[in-house]
Amino acid sequence: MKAITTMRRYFRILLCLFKFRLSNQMIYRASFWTVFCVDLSMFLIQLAVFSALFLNVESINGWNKYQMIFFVGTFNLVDSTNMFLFFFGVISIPLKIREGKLDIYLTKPINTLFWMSLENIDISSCMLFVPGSIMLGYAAAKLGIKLTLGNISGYFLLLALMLLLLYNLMLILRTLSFWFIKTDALHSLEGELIGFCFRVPGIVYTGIAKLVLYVLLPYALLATIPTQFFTGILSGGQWLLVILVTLGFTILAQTLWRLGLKNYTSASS
Amino acid sequence: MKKYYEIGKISLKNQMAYRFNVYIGSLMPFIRVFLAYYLWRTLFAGKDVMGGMTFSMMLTYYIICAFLQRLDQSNDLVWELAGDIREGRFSKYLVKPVSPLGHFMSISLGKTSYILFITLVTVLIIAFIFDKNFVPPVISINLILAAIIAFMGLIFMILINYLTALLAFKFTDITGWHLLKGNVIEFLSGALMPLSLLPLWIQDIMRLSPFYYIQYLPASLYLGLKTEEAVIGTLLMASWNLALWGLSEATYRRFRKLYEGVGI
Repeated sequence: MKAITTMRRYFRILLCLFKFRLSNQMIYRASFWTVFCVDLSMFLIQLAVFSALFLNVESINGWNKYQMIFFVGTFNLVDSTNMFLFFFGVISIPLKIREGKLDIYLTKPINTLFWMSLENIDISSCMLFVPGSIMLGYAAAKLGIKLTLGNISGYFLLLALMLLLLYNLMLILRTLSFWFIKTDALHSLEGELIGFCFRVPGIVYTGIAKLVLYVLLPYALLATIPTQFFTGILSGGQWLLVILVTLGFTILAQTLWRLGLKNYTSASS
Repeated sequence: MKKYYEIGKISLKNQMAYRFNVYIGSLMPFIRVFLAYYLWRTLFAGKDVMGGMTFSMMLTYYIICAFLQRLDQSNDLVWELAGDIREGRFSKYLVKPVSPLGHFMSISLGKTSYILFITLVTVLIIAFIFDKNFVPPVISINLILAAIIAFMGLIFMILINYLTALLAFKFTDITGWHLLKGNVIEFLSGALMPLSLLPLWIQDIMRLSPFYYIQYLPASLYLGLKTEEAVIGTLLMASWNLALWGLSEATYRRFRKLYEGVGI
């Protein structure tokens, strides 16, 4: 009963944050459209790259053009949900730690991480669901995939797991700001890895690269796994891998966050 | 000129102060090349040549592009200059006898000088790792022209980034412009894939744009390809740089009147 009450409370807070951001973003209408335009350009460029590659090859490690479009559409959904929900909140954490602004978050009767992660919801990113869904629908139709309750719910379950994994990966890097002053290069490195795993599907990796990008820095799982599930080539072992990796990184992120908070000395007080 | 040299020197020293950041950043070419290796190894299965390149040439192409991309340090300076304009710190340029463009360029080239050394070491390590798949440089007119065009490309990037930062006078928030510009240039410069994989008619159009000469042409020249385009490329890049320099100065003269000097 207490859990339900807490959940209701947090849902109300989330709704408040959403309303606050909506009115805030409406003031800066040009900025409202920029995230949408930037992300859309990224996906269009990616489609252009894959189209150019498929002018020269017939398949990429067994994946045809439509599986690739499905992969881009899936990454679009993961990325736009990330941008919509927590991207801007999480990337602002290091600055708050560095400048001591974390103090005010710690004194409020609310889960600090929940507030910091979701206070900068970006509503314009929602619009990216449209091109993403069109890509998915088009690719699924071309691949002749029948939509069933099973494959739709499994796909969304995997998307949710991948979002949780992405959140944890982002958070882990930001918690390093508790110990190091300047971590910009690490964030650029993260951007590079995410960018590349969006351009290169996980199916091309073998050996050590696969171990690194599937388990140690599991960015390659993000769009590859849901695509493999929906196109019917995800094994039971891979399901287990996804669940274990997500669980492992959730525990690691939470542990580092708590350790960081213990280490936090504020900036000016 | 001496004052700009001193600014560049200070910028170089600043880079040394944040060595952790620089060293971590130098891992970037590693990531790019390793991931490209896995992608292209798969794409080359059963093929010898794609887009006029063998697998070794393709990998070398990515190594050169990663190297050139790392040399451009003006990208991050956009946030700094735009922040200065937005938050009123730009006033320091108005009271000092330095041109904002000269200052921006000196800082950027100062950073590049330090990064050049670190990245060169990184590239040598990558070349050593990929040994058999790395096409070694051959001292030739191609290599010299590649270096000249790449330097011009670097200046072009500094100018375009300066121009992007100046937009903060008018639009305040330039995040969207800057990111959009980054995405488009990454594709048009051939950093994502060699432009020779695109249909010929698209390549013909791209030859007129400056982006073709930032990474794609220098990397191709290094590989002994596109030699016939080197001279025209040098002239075109010089014209583009001159035009962009003029545009930057004109934009600055026009936009600085919009500066409000917040907080003064």
